Amino acid sequence: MTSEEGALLEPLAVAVHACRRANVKAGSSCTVIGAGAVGLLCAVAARLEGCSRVVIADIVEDRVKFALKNGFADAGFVVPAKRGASSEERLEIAKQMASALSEVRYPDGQAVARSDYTFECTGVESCVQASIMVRQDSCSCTPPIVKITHDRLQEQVAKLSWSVWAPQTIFFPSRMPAPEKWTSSQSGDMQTVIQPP
Amino acid sequence: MRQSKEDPSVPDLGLILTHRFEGLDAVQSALECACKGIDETGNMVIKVVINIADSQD
Repeated sequence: MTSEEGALLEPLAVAVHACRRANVKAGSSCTVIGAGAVGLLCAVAARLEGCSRVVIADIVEDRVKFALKNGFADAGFVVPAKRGASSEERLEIAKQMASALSEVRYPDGQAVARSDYTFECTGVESCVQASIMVRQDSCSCTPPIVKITHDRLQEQVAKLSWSVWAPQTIFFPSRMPAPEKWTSSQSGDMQTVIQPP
Repeated sequence: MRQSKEDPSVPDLGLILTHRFEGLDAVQSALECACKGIDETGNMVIKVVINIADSQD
């Protein structure tokens, strides 16, 4: 295995695991929030599982353009950069994001509306909440990523007072001992740890 | 659109590797590049790879 294949293996494993946990069905639609490596690979994995419509969202416009240009997704949405100071403000931001995302249209003109599956790949509170809101029947949410503990996800779910199935796909530093050097400065992204449910 | 050689319906996953570094000496620079999310020329960073084996040949 080359270094390049190895570099893709970890996020690809996260993506495949998430799709399997979500039990993605053929002909379905999915929303991917976060167009980083994990988000892009979730989009690919969902497509390979038969998902026929993929919309991807990110705060960075270039990432959304990259995903669309290279066929990772069918539609894209640039998330407005907003940071709420309180949980109420963040919830409102999530509602606005979910509303705007649902109005995005696929190339054939069909609105995204609500997707069958959501892959939340940022760990940002308002994005986690929005990922639940844009779900078709609010019974499933698959967070494949890691900057959020399952306990924290359940907190967000509880705030929404919705019935949500949130598979415990991945844990994060509170569950796994991370080297101190990785938890300092801005190296948070290096804390990624995958653990079977 | 660059596609996978094995499956034309799949994009070339290698595109995700936007930045490449050579050797263990480049680890610090690679981590800094990955954390910033944007490189010195303003290009976005998605995934960074450090080629170690190749640089040791």
